[in-house]
Amino acid sequence: MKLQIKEKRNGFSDNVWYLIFLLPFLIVFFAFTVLPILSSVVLSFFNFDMIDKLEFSGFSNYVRLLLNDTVFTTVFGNTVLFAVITGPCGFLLSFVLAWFINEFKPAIRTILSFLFYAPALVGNAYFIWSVAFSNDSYGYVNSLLLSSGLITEPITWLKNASYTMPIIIAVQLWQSMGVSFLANISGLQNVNAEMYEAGAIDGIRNRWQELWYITLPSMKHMLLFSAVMQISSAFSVSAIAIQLAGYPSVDYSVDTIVSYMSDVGTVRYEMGYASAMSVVLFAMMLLFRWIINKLINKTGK
Amino acid sequence: MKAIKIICLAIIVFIIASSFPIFAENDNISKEQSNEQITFGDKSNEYKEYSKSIEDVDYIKNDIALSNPSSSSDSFRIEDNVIVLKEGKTSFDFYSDNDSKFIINLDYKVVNEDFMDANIGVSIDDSYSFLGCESIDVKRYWVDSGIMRKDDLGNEFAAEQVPYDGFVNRPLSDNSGANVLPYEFAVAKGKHTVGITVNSGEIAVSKITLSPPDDAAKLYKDKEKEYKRNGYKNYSSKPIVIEGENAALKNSNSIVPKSDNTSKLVTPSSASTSLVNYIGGTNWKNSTEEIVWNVNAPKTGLYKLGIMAKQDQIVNGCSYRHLKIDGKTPFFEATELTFEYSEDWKLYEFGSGNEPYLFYLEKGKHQLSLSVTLGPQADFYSRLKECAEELGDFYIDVVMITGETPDSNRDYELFKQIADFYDILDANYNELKSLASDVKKLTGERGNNYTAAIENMMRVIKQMKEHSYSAQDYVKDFYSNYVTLNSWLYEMTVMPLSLDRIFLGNPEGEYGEKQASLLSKMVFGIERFLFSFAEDYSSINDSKNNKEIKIWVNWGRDQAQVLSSLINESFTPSTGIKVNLEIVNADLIKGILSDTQPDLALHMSRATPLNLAMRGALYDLSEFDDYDEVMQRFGDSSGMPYEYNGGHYALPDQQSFYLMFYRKDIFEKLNLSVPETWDEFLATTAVLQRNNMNSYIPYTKITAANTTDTGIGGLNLFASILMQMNGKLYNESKNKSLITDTVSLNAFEFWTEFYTEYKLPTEADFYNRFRVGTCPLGVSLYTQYTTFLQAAPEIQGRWGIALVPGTVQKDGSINRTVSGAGTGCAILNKSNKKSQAWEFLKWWTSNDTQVRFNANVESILGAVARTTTANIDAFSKMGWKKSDLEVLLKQREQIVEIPEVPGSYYLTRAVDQAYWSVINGNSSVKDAIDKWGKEANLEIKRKISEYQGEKR
Repeated sequence: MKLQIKEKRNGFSDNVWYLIFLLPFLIVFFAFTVLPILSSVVLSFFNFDMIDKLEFSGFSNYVRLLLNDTVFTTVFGNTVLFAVITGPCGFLLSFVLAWFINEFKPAIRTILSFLFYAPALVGNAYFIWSVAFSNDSYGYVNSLLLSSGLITEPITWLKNASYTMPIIIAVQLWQSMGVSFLANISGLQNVNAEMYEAGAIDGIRNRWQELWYITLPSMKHMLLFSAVMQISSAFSVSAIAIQLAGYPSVDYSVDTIVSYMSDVGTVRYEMGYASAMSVVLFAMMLLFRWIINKLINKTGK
Repeated sequence: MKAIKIICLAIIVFIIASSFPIFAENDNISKEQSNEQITFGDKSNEYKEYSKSIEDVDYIKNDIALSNPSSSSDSFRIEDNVIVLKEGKTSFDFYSDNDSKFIINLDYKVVNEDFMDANIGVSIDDSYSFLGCESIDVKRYWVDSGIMRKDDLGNEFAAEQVPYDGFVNRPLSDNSGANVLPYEFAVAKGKHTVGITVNSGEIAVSKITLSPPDDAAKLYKDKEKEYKRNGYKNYSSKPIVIEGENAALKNSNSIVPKSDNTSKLVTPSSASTSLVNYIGGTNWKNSTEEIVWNVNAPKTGLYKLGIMAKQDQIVNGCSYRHLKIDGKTPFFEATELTFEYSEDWKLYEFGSGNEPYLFYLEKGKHQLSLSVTLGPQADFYSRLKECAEELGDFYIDVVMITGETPDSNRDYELFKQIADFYDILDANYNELKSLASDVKKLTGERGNNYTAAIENMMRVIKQMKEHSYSAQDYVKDFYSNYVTLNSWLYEMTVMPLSLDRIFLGNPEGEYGEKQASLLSKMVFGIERFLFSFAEDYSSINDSKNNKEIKIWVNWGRDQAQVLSSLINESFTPSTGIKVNLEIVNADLIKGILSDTQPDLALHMSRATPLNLAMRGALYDLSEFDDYDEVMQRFGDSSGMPYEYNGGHYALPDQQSFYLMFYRKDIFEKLNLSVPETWDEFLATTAVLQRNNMNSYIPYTKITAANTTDTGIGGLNLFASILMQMNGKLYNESKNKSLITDTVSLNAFEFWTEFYTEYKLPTEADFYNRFRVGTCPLGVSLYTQYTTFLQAAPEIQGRWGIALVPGTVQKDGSINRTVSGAGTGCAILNKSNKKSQAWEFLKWWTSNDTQVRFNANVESILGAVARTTTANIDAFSKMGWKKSDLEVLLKQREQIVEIPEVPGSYYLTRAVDQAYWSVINGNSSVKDAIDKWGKEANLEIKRKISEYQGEKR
């Protein structure tokens, strides 16, 4: 029976049943993912303030965005910086951590995995950092520095462009590593132990070779998953920066495309312009995903 | 024999006389100033000391009725044979046959027209006997007006509270709760006068009686003997049930009937709709708040008491109530009926051991009353309060020397610098220690949570004492524990109790109350769950009728229900216009986009009317003929933010403003006066800073949302200072910001210097620092006033409000302009019922509606929820202290609103960005303003050309 089904699979009439079963998902997917993407592509060529105007404006939104908007240049830079540091760095870090922790005994491993995953699990816990880095002299960090005599007046941590970026990146790393860390751990555990034996017989000399020729290739899909998760989330960060540094942050120093986009869309009601921004962001994410794919396919070669 | 009598008499007279130490020489206490003249921390004339000193005096034998004022004066008038006391002092003469003491009962009715309680002072022979009798609240009594209200879905909610028209008889007593029983006064044999000074309000008094106290001091076992002696019989029929929500009288309009539809135990109960079924809860929690029920006793006899109630707020403690029957306490134990913690409704019974307390009722009508009392905790409260005050003063003394963050390497030698360093610490340590053990004695093990605060404080004190050379190391520890101690002090006075039913029953029988079984509880829960699908929670009204106007509010359900009931009671009957009120937590713009928009919306945030108006979504209200007339209700420039291109698109409904707060005690200590100008403010700040304290001026972190929601005037003081310097944010035609002008630059520089030169904190917890005193001067929104008043008992009477400082003008006058913030209500352009909608707006912003709305909201949510109405007349009727109201109104007059223009949110941001680059020292004032001002102007220009380029 099984063989027969496989043979018949080419004709459309036979695929109808698959499509019918897929239909609920497809409808939802189309309505809530494809349609919004398409509509924002379309909207990006219009001026639209949500009330009465919908007028075609050609590429003017893109021209303004890419050539004429200094704030966008800033937030674009911030977004790329975030993506590069919290994306690849976060990913590498989480892989290395997972690799180390994988060496422990199961009980300890569970506890450690939980500890690293916890920040991602508890959602808004990054709020404590705003208490820690409060500008007030009673903020934890300020209080500590003041009482140890290192500074004489409180530092405005989250309102000074030279401190905000490092703080936000650190908090972002702390919070976002969890998911890809978990994916990596499970990836590591799925590597067939016999492969290492075979590798040893075939002449693997050290752990590095083992990692490069066996571990990484055999968890390629996990790597891809966690890299994509990590980087796409790195592109769409905004919540942490908004919560800690406020929006707009000082000199727009830590604002990202997403926070700027919601500002333009919901505060200034310029939906066309915000759509143009989202299209640019979407294109950037596709580009990075393609690069990652290329890189990961290189493992083991 | 005669000689002994005379000596005794002389001693008594001496004792009495010596208990008037402060006022003995100073007979003429001016009425208004009497509050301020009291020096704090002087224990010699506390009521406790006074009552100890008159311990041996006998109670008066017969009641003495005071009827006629001893002299005619303009402080009272006679109306229908009743004396109406107005502000001022009225004296009554009487003759005492013996040395005696008594309590003073008033048969009264508070008649002033605002809904405030009255406040009086009582003096004997022109002097105040003790601290506290110069300011006694005389409470107004309230009743439900008619029947329960219902919304269109069948949900019941409390009837409106209206003042009680009859007279009530109450003894004068302490409002703070520190003294549980009525005040007792003593006089020697002879002729005396009782002076009643009305500090605020008006009271109609039909009778003033000096009488012995009721049986509040008599123990139950003595009372029981009395019952036996008199041969009283037990009541033996079915129990009498009184539903708590059917209260006859209450002395606060907050005590409203409520509904709990989560339990089957409470009656009546329904799974589908919410029914009004109990009273009290968190609205019945402050000392002396009283509820009175009418009860009809079918037979003369002894009854036992049961109360179906729920005390689910104080987890490890108890709530106490004082029971009176016909205004009389039956015996001592009834002064502290105890309600322990219970998560669910529970039948509370009272008695010693297994024997219930019995109450004697004669056949016929009676009044049963329960009032909030601190009970046995009253003593702890007053002792702890004293400690807290002393420790607070001590903390300020220490901080004046060391600063809030002392240098641990420096030798401050606090024990030398503070005169009685060891004495204060020792005394308070011992007092706290005995307090902790007393609290434990009362509460047993469960008191641990409470004593933890005390014990932590003790630990810090001990450390400071033992390591006196490095006492400064404990300053921060002291601060945090002191704040905890204060919040516990406040919590101690809070005694919520939800009351469902009162039973008066056969002492040997049951009340017929069964505990709900697990099964029935489950069935009830499932029913409720199922009904939750059928209910439309967003709507207050049911019908989907085209003939009615649709209103959107983004409020809590409580406020919306109040508005809905006011609409049903007043708006719809008088205009015939029906209203569909919806709670919508969404952007109006989304409603317009999806064509489900309402006819009008209330409480629209600051820039929303303009943002919608410039897109043509709102209707120009000045098209209505009586627009100008309606605008008279508000302050002069209140309409300014809602103006666009000559049109007026919203009516202001809320408005708030800045006010200055200062600590009287600290100002007195440092010999400071309240600053009138910013220069004086800075000079005061310099003195405070020299003493290691600081001032505070408001700065709100901006977000994308609050730049449009609040507007520039409500976020910081820049706009106020700019206007005081006669600058403006926008030009006349409102298409350009003047932020780069010289005057703006000067104002900006002056404003940022507060932070850069004078080191005011950019971010600080003003509320707590004001309480502990390290920030004794600050400017903040006026709504802070109610918070300090309600939640900071330890600084009660030690703080004041004043106008925000101003800037001296060339001609020497002071410009005290402040900016405002608030919300507006508007009509949508797409609406086809604009004239009905306008009728509604006129009704909503009217004095009467605003006052009633606020009174209702306050009665449900408490005074902290007081609305910030833009209607000035309504504002002045919201129950402010008289002297404070003057300041508030004066400050209100100074409000100048700032226009909103397309893109104005960007200016708010630009100012903030420039502010931070100056504060962080990244650029000069001029560079910062240049850079960000230019950007703001670009945005404003772009927005304006976008919309006005092709104006329809």
